[in-house]
Amino acid sequence: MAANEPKSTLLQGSLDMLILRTLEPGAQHGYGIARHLHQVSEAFLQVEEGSLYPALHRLERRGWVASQWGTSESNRRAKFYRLTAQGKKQLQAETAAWGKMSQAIERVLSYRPAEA
Amino acid sequence: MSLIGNWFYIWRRDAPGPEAGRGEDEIDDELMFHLRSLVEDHLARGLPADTAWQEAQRRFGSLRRYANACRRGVAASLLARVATAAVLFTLGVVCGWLLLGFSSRHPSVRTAGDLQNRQIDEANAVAKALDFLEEWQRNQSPAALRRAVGAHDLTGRVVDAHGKPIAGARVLVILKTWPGGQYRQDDFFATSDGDGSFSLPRLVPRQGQHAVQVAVFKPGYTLASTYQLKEAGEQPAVDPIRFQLAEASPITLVVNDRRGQPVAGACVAPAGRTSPDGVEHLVYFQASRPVQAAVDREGRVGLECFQRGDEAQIFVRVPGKEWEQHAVHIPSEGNTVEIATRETGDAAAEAAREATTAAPAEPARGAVPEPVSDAAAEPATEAGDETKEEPPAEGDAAAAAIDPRLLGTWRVVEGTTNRHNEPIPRSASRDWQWTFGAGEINTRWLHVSPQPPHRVKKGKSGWTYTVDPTRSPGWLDQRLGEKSPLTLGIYRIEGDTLTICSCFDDKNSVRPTAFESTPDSKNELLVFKRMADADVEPEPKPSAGMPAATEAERLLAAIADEEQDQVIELARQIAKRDGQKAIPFLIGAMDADNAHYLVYGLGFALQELTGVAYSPFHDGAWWRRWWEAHRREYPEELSAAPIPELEKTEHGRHYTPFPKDFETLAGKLAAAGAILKADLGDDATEDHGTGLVLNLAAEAAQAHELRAIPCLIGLIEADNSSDTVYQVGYFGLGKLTGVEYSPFHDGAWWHRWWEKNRGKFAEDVRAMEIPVYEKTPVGREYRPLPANSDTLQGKLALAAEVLDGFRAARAGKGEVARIDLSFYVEELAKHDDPHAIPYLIGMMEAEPRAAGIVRSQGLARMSKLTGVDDPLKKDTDWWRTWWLEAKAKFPADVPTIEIPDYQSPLAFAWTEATAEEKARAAAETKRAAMQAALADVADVPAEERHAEQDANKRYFLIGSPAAAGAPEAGRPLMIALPGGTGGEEFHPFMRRIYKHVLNEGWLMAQPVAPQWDAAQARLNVWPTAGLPDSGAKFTTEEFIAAIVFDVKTKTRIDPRRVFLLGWSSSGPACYATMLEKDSPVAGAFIAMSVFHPEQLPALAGGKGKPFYLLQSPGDRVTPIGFAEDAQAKLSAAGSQVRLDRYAGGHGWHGDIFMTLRTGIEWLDSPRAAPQPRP
Repeated sequence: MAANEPKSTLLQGSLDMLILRTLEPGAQHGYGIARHLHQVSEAFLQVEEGSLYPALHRLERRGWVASQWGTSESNRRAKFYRLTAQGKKQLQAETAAWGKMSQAIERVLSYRPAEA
Repeated sequence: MSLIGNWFYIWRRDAPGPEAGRGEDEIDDELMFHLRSLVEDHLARGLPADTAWQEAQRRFGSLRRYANACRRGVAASLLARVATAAVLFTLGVVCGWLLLGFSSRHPSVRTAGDLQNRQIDEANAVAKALDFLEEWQRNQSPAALRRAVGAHDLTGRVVDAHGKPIAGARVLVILKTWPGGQYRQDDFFATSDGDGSFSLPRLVPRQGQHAVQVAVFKPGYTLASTYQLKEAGEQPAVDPIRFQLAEASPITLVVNDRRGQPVAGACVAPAGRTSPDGVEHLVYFQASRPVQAAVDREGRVGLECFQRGDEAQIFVRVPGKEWEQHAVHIPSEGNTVEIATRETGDAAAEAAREATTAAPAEPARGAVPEPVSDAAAEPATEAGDETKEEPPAEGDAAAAAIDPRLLGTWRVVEGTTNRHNEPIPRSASRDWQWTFGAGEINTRWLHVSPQPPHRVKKGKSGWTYTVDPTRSPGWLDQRLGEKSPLTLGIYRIEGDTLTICSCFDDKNSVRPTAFESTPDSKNELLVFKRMADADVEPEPKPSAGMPAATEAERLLAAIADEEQDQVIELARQIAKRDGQKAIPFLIGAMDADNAHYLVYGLGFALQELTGVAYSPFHDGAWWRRWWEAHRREYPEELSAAPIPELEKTEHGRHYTPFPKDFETLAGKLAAAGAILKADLGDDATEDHGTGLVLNLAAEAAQAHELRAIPCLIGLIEADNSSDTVYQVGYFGLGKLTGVEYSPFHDGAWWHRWWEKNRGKFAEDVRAMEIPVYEKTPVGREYRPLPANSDTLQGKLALAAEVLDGFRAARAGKGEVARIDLSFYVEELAKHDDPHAIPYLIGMMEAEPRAAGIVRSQGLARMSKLTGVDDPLKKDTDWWRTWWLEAKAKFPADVPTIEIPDYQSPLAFAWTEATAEEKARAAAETKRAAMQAALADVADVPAEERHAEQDANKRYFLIGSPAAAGAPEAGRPLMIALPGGTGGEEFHPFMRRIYKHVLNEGWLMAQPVAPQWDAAQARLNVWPTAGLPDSGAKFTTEEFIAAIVFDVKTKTRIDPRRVFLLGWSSSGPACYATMLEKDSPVAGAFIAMSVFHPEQLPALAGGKGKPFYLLQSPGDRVTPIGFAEDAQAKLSAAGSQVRLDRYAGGHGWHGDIFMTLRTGIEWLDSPRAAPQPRP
């Protein structure tokens, strides 16, 4: 099964980071998070609801986000998630790690052996 | 019906409510909110409600599964709860198997004492479960599928007429795919870079049928698009797309309402253009969002993407209304084109006003203005800034002033308003309190409901005011919130009397000069009396904290005032908080009025409390009878509670309850005419019906009551509205008759259908005549479609009529009426008949503006028939030339058809086959194909039989049942249920299995799946006791038993060697038959099947019996997890189970006969030792 593909693993790890980043400016409900990722990535990232909600609940259990019920922009009851202090630290850590990793990958990809 | 039920359910349960307690419902609520937001998004894109709901649900998948995934996660932190833990552990083990192929662990290994280890295991299991669900979800997504099969980048470049790059062009992409045979459409967009290049990585599938539509939009240049359709098969590469854009003519579009007044706040987007040479460029609505633009307050917007002479298509939406599509001709002179929206002037102006102000329109219906929702305030932020009238400068100077005489609470004693040219509502002259503070006004509404002493208080704040007491008279200006326009007014205070006169004109509030409200003004004149402190009512408490009695009073008051939304919301709150205790009260409240919205709103609240499904027929009287019959099932203090006799409202006094007869379907059918009249007739109170007819049709279908058919046909004939044709045709007649819904099936069509087909029904059904009901207003105006309207010639004639209208409209100037030719063209293409081709070409010649539609909706859909590549790129002349050359290759009379001249009425010089002839021909082709397929197994004896002489229990007996040569113990029998449709077309395959896998001693029986109705034939091919079909006369288990009995009448059968073979759709029936008590079968070979124990008999029924399971780890239709689950659970229940895996996914792969032989030999081997049947 595809569970062992590195692509999937990468995606799964990065979903948490993307959610945390989305929540950095302020609280947002699940649908808002999905919409934000879709729009900001110019529709490249399609977060499936089946991943999003288990991830949100997992982040909440880890104490990285906290949730409370509020009123959505369409005046309906919706569950809003916000970043906790612990979540901010986690986001910083993950962003830093991501930066390092992407730099490393970029270095490998752009490496040209010297002419012999 | 369930679709509609779901829709209502979602709509209601997500309505705004007070903070609810945390609990299991929260996860549901959260997911529901998401689903509903998706639906709203689709609605905003212009999808019809049904489609929006289906699309959102399809994208979202199973709510229940996600909710469970979240819940399991939550529960993981409460691992000390042993019961929960046991469930979780089982889940974990299953998921472990699914993911890692664990097969040796078993839940019973765990002991209750080892808590710590279990916690770790369970946490891991839960994490795995979550990961599995995530992985599974990703695998379902088209994006993931594209990743899995690999996909090409979509690249291209946008340049101008001189070949210079155009940067910043919006590239709008629609990708059409058909995963699993289901159509899917996704939108993407990109922007061209400085080099004019754009790229969408890994977008275009390498294989499988798909289509890519790309449109490019850059102000200043003409709109351009391309369309590429690829049939199934490997696509080695995707060529970069090059767009060369011409310069556009600067055009200003003005959006007016029907009266010619500009519509501020309207939203527009280009939908397409047809150039003077007939080439069409399209923007799909779904992809249009990035290029939508708002008009200014004069309704104007620049649209620089058309050329002079273009026929332009524009999407337009008046705020708060549906999207419309308009056609306009871009004139050769002048820079302005106008379109008139279909909204009536008032509605358009009203909608625009709503969008340009956050100030509420009126404090009518006994309420102070409701708070403007954030959603409504959002457009106000944009449009309101443009349109609001700033206060005069001198007003600002007075902003800080306070008139101490104003402070305190005042009660309205008199008032006149002409905000909406109507006198102040009766309720407004009752206790309306205004409390002036420093710069703020809090208004309170003291509403008195009909039932004394039901005084209801509603509070409202958010209004601010400024005064300038130095003026004479004094100035008093108000606004709601920060963004809304200012309402200018004057005031005076004389003793304890305050008089305020304000101009409520959202766009142009003019300060009144006198204390009066004349009908030609927008002025509101209110006279207040100061209230003594002791008289001031305390602030109302938030609703969640209010005692139950007050909530009930509010509900009754809202019913009296017909505050529909509030009634529904309050009922929901009461039901949620009070639970079953609320039942008698809600019934009494419903019966006091019995308006449709109340039957609906309270009906849903009662549904949640009682489990009785909502029906528009369940009015107050019905619920009273229900309560009398069921009250004893409730706790004593509740069952003793009487239904309150509340004072009836005006509506309630005149309401006639549905008769008791309506409790049965027969009673309703007998009174169908009256039901139609109440729902859609002259007496109907709701414009769009109340769902009574729909409910009746759906109930008849659910009960599979064939005697309802003539009645339902009569209902369609009496109304013939598109809603009724759809609702009764789809939810009722379609399910009863198996006839696929078509918009062409009007009452007259169904009438003819009945006369032709009644003979196929049982005596009591076919004896019935179609009743003649009193026609509804729509029905009286309706002109039935011609008798041949569902034939190709009939549709060609109808399309010609539309074309006539299209040409007539073209003769006029300005806006062209949009006539939907595409619908007819699409219908023509569905016939897949070459006779249609010359007519389609003729249409393009007759009306160049229709050419694009004919190509995309007609000829492109027939490309298999025409064999033309890139049909959209060929112009009309090309098609004419092609036809003259290509027509000879088409059979029969097709080559004799000339391309018609649509200037004169159509005449058909060829004869179209009747539906029966076509069906016969299709059946003949099928038979011939089967005969041809049987050539290699012609030597295998086979006989068609009917078990129990029942025409529906048809089966093939393969092999020779001659008694001679049969072993002493009897012959072995393999009963093979085909997957897929379960139909006879599998017969050649079955004979091959017999020939290559079994030997001559065997007998094989192949049941043919009976088709009880169209839906069952597609969704539940082999119904069982655990997954029944309401229309089926017997279950598959009974069918199999009948076959075994029938074969026994021919020869001796060894009961220990009666086996089942099934795959895919027949798998569940094989499990069910194996597990039932006294099963006639001793073992089963089950391949590529789901496994749902909850739909099966107790698994212990399979004890000692062999199950050979075959499933592919790559199976996406029925994932291998089902087989692994079956293996675990059946083994645990004492069955002998062997699971073999194979590569290749769902379907038979590899050496099929060897695979089958392996399994059957295992089943039939002595070691399996099946229990002999007693």
